[in-house]
Amino acid sequence: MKISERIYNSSEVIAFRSTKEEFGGLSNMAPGYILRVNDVIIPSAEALYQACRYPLFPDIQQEIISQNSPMTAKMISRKYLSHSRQDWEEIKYTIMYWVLQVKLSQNFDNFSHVLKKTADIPIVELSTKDKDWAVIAENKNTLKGKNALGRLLMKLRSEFILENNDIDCVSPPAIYGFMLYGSDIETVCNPELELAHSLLFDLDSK
Amino acid sequence: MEEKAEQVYEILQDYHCDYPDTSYEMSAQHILKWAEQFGEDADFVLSEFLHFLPQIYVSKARAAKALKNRLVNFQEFYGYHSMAEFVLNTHFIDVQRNEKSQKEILIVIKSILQDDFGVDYDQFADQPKKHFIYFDDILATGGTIFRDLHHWLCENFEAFVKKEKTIALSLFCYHELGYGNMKWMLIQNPELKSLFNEHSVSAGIIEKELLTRTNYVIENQAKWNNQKLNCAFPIADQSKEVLQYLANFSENPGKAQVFRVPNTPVQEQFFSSADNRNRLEKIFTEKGLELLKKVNSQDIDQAKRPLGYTVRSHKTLGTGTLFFTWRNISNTCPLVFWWDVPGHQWTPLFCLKNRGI
Repeated sequence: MKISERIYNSSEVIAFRSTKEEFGGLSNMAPGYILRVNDVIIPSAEALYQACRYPLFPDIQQEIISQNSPMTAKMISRKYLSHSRQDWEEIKYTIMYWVLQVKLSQNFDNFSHVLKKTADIPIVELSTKDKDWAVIAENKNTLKGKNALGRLLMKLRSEFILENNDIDCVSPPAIYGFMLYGSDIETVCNPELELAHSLLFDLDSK
Repeated sequence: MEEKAEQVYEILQDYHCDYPDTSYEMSAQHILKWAEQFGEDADFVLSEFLHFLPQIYVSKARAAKALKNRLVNFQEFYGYHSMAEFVLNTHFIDVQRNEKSQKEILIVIKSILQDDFGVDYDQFADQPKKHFIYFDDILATGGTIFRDLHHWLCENFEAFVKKEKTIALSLFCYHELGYGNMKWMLIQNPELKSLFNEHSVSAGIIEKELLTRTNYVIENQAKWNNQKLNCAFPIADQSKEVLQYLANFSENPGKAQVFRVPNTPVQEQFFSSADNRNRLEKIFTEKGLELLKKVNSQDIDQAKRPLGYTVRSHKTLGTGTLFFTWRNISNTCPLVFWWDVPGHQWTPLFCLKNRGI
C-alpha cells in the first residue's frame, strides 16, 4: 500500500487532533475502543498497531499491551524501535488498515457512528510535525501531508459504511510472520457473534 | 505404591464429601484402589500425581490462611486501619445457590473474622456499604462469574462510576482463558455498553476498576507464549479412538486450540518432565474417553469431555483443570478424578458433591 503527499483545504475537511473532540473517536488514541486478538485484550488501536512491529519479541508486545494509556504504549514502543520487523516501513499501512478494521468489527456501534457522522467529507488528522500519518498546516487555509490515517479511515468508511459491506470477521493480512505472543494472528470477529453462538462459555462452572 | 498412596493421603486427608451415600471416604486404601484402575500405569499415575499435587490442593487450613491474608490485603488496599472498619463498609456478595462454593467460603470467612479479629460480620450487615467482594473458589470457563458480576454492575453502575461502590473478585484459582473471556464479555456486553455510553465512560473502566485477587493461575492460554500450561492439555499424538472421538465435533475456528503444541511449555515446571506430561495426559484422556463411552445414550451432553466439562462449542478434549479444594472437585477436572456412575465400574478419587449440579 503506497500513500503519497496531498494538499487539503482546511475549510473542506473533518479534522481531528484530540480524542476529546467531536471526532476524537477516529484517533487510535481514543479510549473505550478495546480490542481482542488471539484472546489478548488490547486497550487501544494504538497498542495493537505498535505491538505488530515486534512479532519476534513477545515480551515487548506484552509490555506495550499492558499499558492502559495509548500514549504510554506508544512511548514504550519507541524504546524498542531497533527491534522492529525489518519490513515495517513497507507493510505499516497495510497493518494499520487491518487494525482499523478490527476496531470497527469489535466496536461497531460506536465507531460506525463516528464514521457515519463524517458523511463523505475528507478526514484528516492534524499534527504539528507528523506529515506521514497526519497533515501539517502550511498556512491558514492549506493542510499538507500524506494523511495516511485519515486516508485509511476514508477507505474504511467507503468499504464498510457507505457500501455497507459486512465486517463481522476480519482476516489477518497476508503478511509473513504476523504474530502476537508467539502465535500467528487469527481471524478476529465481532464479539456479538461470539456471544450469540456461545463461543466463549455456556455453562456454570463449579 | 502403598507408600505413595500414604503420601497422597497426607495431602488429601481433609477432602470432605457430604454426599450421604458415598462409599468413597478419603484414605490411603481408597487412593490405592483408584490408582490400581490404571493397570500397569498405576504406579506411574500415582508418582506423577504426587509430583504436582502439593501445588494444587487447597486444604481447609490452607484455604483459611489464604482467606485471612486476603482479608488483610483488602483492608490495606482500601485503606482501613482496622478490620472492623473495613467490614463495616464491606458487603460479601452472597448470590450463589446453597450447594455452590460461595456459601461455604463465606462461612469460613465469617469464622475467621470472628476468631482472629473479633468482628461479627452479621452485626454490620445493615450498614451502608462501599466495597462489594465476590468470593469463589475456581473460575473455570467464567460463565458463572460473568453472570453475577454483570448483574451487580447493571444494578450499581452509577455508584460504580462515581466510585461510591467498588467491586472485587477473590478466588483461589482462575483459568487464564476463562478469566479473559469473562472480562471480554463484560466489556462487550450490550447492556453494559449502553451504560458506558449513558455515563460517558470508557469500557476500560472494567479493566481498571475490577479488582481481582487469586492465589493460583492455570495458564491455559495456548495462543500465548510463556504459559505454564499447568493443566491436562494433550498433544495431537493420540490414539485412533481419541482422534475419531474428536472428529465428531465441528470446527470452531479461532477460539479453542484442539491440541497443545509439542514441546510446549518450553520449560516444564508443572509435571515432572515433558515425557511424563505426555504420558499422563494420554492415560487420563484414554481412560476418560473409555468412561464416556459407557454412557448409554446418543444424546450425551457435549459439555462432557474426557478431560472435564468444557464449553460445548469448543473442539477440545476438555478443560483439563488440575486444581482441587477440600470442599469439592470441579467438573472441569479430568473425568478419571470424579466420574461416578453406577454400573460404569469406576471408583473416583474424589467424590463429587451434589452430583455436579
